[in-house]
Formats: sequence, structure tokens, C-alpha cells
Amino acid sequence: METNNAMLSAPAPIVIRKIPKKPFKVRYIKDMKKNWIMYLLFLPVLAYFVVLHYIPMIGIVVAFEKYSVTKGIFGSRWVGFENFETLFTGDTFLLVMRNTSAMALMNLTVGFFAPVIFALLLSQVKFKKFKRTVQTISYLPYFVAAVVVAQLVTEFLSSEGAVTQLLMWLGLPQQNWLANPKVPVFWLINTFTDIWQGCGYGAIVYIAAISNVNPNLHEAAAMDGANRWQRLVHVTLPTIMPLVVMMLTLRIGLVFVVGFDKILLLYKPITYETADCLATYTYRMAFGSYVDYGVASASGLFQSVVGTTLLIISNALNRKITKSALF
Amino acid sequence: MKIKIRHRKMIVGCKEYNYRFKGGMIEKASPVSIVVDTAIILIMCVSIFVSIVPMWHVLMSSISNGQRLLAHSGLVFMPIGDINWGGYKLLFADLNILRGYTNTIIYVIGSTAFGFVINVLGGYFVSRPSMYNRTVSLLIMFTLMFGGGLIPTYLVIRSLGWVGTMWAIIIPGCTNAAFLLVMANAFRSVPESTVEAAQIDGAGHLTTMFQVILPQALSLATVTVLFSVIGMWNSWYPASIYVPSQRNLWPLQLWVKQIVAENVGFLQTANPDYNRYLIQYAVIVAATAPILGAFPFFLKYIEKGVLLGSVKE
Repeated sequence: METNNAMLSAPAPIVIRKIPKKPFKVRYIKDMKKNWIMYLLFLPVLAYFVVLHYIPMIGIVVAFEKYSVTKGIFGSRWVGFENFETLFTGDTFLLVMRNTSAMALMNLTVGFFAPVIFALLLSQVKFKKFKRTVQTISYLPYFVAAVVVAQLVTEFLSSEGAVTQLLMWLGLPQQNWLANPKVPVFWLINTFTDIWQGCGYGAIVYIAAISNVNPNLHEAAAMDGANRWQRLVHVTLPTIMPLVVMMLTLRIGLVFVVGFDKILLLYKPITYETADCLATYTYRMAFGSYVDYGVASASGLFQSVVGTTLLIISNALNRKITKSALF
Repeated sequence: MKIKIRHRKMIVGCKEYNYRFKGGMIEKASPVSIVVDTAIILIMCVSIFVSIVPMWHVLMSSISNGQRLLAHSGLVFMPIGDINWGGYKLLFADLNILRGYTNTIIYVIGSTAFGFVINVLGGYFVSRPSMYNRTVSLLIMFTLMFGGGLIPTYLVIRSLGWVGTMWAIIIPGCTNAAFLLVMANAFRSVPESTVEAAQIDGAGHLTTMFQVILPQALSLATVTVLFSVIGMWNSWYPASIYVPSQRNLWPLQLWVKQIVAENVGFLQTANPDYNRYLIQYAVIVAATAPILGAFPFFLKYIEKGVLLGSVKE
């Protein structure tokens, strides 16, 4: 009885004991025993990323050296920021920055909204088969190689080309448009080539998002007397808006990184003034007629830093606006 | 009862609109809407036209009569003159083109296979719990954000002795962090219960990887393979940097670039062979036809791949 009472009145206190973290060595040995095959298999991947991605990051020191091929990375003379000075004070740098920003800006505005508009228009098509056909065909240009695209542009914009004739019909003078060094010409060519290639492909995401809009919303809106335009503006647009914002911020981050090989194929010495951008400038400094590895790496590093900064900013924006982030 | 009536007739202001049912969606047949529909369909037709016509123009030009084509300006919808295969005959008589094809195929296969192995091994490591997988995942993601740039990468590849060899094209471009992380995500989406079941039955890492996880993630793995194949087929830039003077190593795309650029001078010869003019069209067709011919087969994977890459959670 007594014992019983004691047990009832004072139950043994439940002690939650924290299991102490085992020392590193023990954990390490246990982990190794369990996973050593996995680590072994991972070695080639590690080697790949270290050799081709991390060692080049060390190679950035070239940007601070008077690099000479015979002396190598570690033997060359250290010059501090001299290469950057040469880069930033050179008269081409301002032009290059202007062109890069202008093309990036056009890419972010016209180039970005073309697929959105295309997807919205396509969503209004009622015939399912026709819709599907249009969508499928619109991907095609994306898979055409850059070299071929460049050749097509050259052909269509030459003084005898089809686009030139169309423009003549609109009242513009006959000319080889690719050799026109006036200000917006090359930028427009670049932007519209990008749109031709990427519009259908870029629209895939939006088309999927639009088809995922709950049909009940549309029906409810229609019941309340909303016409098609109103439904588009008040139902479809708000539902795809988060995606559009996310894609835009992502695009801001990547705008400096991608898509310069078309410029490399399309520009000529006569249009350098409007066509030259950071990546092509770096390329010419490295493999052109006048080679300066130091300045080229400085310009490459500058490009990387700007690109990374934009990516971090865009990620922060993304986190703030759409509550989702890449990293 | 009232609601049922509203389905059929709706009075807005003094006007009465008729609604009809079609596929569960209420639609209004009004003149404005017909005009809008027609306009949209027209725009779509124009976009189809713009997407197809450039390639069609090249295809038709490549089988035209060279001399008359040269005098022609504007779009070519049908072959000018009789159908003429002279351009293709000249093109394939050139051993360089065949060599270019072989090289491209070697690069595509080599780089895709190597990339696939890296993606699977890396993806498996990142997706399975271990002491280091989070650290490694971060390290790999960092390479997406920041890179050494053109020159340092070139210097590394040169010190490996790869410049001027096939390795410089096959290995560095075979994969990247994005592909690897896509693969890791695909592996993570495999039900954990199947993995546990296999491990209880005594499966090691190799068995788990190749017989449990990979088969279940195969459709997403195919997406990465496909994008790698397309990317490699179309690539020209690495080759132009790493094997600029080794013409026997040039991929097809570099030959397209070269032939188009060289072809300008043929008219200066005394008695020009006008089929030479067709080569620049023929080479484009030859380089593009395989990828566009395979297009219907990889269509569904493309959409899957795009949606996978962009819509995260």
C-alpha cells in the first residue's frame, strides 16, 4: 500500500537526457565505414570541380600581374591594380560599358516581356490543335546553333536580304544593316535575334503557369459579367505575376553572364563601337591580335564580380518579393 | 433556380447577352470577340511563319540554281530553277565536312557520357545523407555564382596539356553545377522507402545508386542528357579557343563558320562554279537537319526540363 502510494504520488521524474555528440573522430570513423564507397565514387567529381572551377579562381591573380607566358602564374611580376587602371582608363572601356548595359537593358525589357506576351496571346487561342502546333513550332529556333543563327542574320540583313527589303518597304534606306555603326542598330539586331530564338522557348514556363490557373476563377469571373479582357487582366495576370517577377529577378542576375557568343559572331571591326561588350572585349584581349592576358583577366574578373553582385541582388529581391530564393 | 437562369441569360444594363456552354466554360459570342480571335490567330500565324521561314529559305536556296540564286534577292520559297544537288555534292566531296561530322559525334558522345557519370556520381553524393554532403552541395553551387573567367580557365587547361587536343572540348564542357544539382533534385524525389528497403536487404551504395535510385529518376536524367547533346552539337566557342589551328579536330559548327566566311571569294575566279555558292546553304542544312530532325522525339523532355529548371517548389 505504502509503496503503491509513493509510486502514485511521486512518479519517477522523466529526465530527457541530451545524447552527447560523439567526438569527431568517432563520427568520422563511423561515417567512413558506412560511406567510404560513396566518397571514393565522389572523388572524380571533386577533382572535376576543383580543377576546372576552383583552381581557375586562384588563377585570378593573373589580373594583378604583368603576366608572361614563360614565367607562369607564380613567376610573373606583381603589379597590383595596374591592369585595372589600364582597363578603366582606356577609352574603349566606357563604350564597352555603355554597350553592355544597353544590350542588357533591352534584354531585360523587350526581350523579357516578349515571351510573356506571346504566352498570354497563345492562351486566348481556342483551337487546341492549333495552339499546340504554334507552341511546338515556336521552340524550333531555340535549337538552331548560334553559328547558323549568325549566318541567317547576316543573310537576311544584307543589302539584298529579306528583312532589309521589308524595312525598305517601310521607308528605310537600303543597306547592309550589320555594317551600320549607328547607335541603336546593332542593339536592336541583337535583341530581336534573341527574341526570335528564345521567345517560344521562354514562353513554356508561362504557358504552363497559365494552364494551371484554376478554371473556377475564370468561371466565377465570367458569371459576374467579366469579359475576356477583364478576365485576362484580373484573373490570369495576377496568378502568373509571382512567376513573372521571379523570372525577371533571375534574369537580372544572369543578364551579364550569358549570351555573348552571338555578338562575337555578328560584330565586325566597323561596328565595334556599338557592338563591343565586356565579354567580347575580354575575348579580344585574350585571343585577338593584341594580346594582354593581364588586362583580359582584369576585365574578366570585373565581369565576374558584376555578374555575381547582380545575382546576389536579384536573389535578395526575389526573397523579398516572392518569398522564394535560389540560394 | 435563379442561378440556373443566370447561366443562360445575363442582363447587363439594357442589353441581353447569350451565353453558351463549351467545355465547362461560359463563353460570349460577340463581334468584338470574333475580331480579337481573328487578330490573335493572325499573329500566331505570323509567328509560325517567322519561326520556320529562315530555315526554309536556306533549305530551298541550297537546292536552287546557283547563278540565278545569286541574282535573286529576298525570300526563296521554292527552289529557283531546277532542283540541283550540286551544292551537297561539292560539300560532301570535301573530306573536312565528314571529319567535322565525326568530330562532332565524338564530342557529343564523349562529353555526354562523361557528364552523365559526373552528374550521377555527384548527384548521388549530394542527395544522400552523409557528413559532408551539405558542404559539398554549397561548394558546387558556388561555382554557379562565381567563376575564374576566361583566361584563368584557359591557363589551367593549357597547363593540363589539353590545348590542341580533344580533351579540351570534351571534359570542361561536359557538365556544370546546374545539371548536377538538377540530377541531385531528381534523386531526392525518389521515395526514401525504396532506398531503405534496398539497404535493409543489404544493398551497398553502388547497388542503391544504379539499381534503385537511377532507374526511378531516369526520365529526369534523360532531360540532362538531352540538353547536353543539343548543347554540344551546337557548340563552337570552346573549339575556337582550344583547337583554333588544329583543323582536323574542328567540330561541324566551326566548319560552318569557316565555309560561310571563305565562300565570299569564289566569284573572283575566272570561271566561277556557281554550285560553290550553294555550299554555304548546304552546310547549314547539313549541320542543322540532325538536330531539327530529332526534335519531335525530344519535345516532351524539353518541356519537362524547362519546368524542372524554373519552377522550384
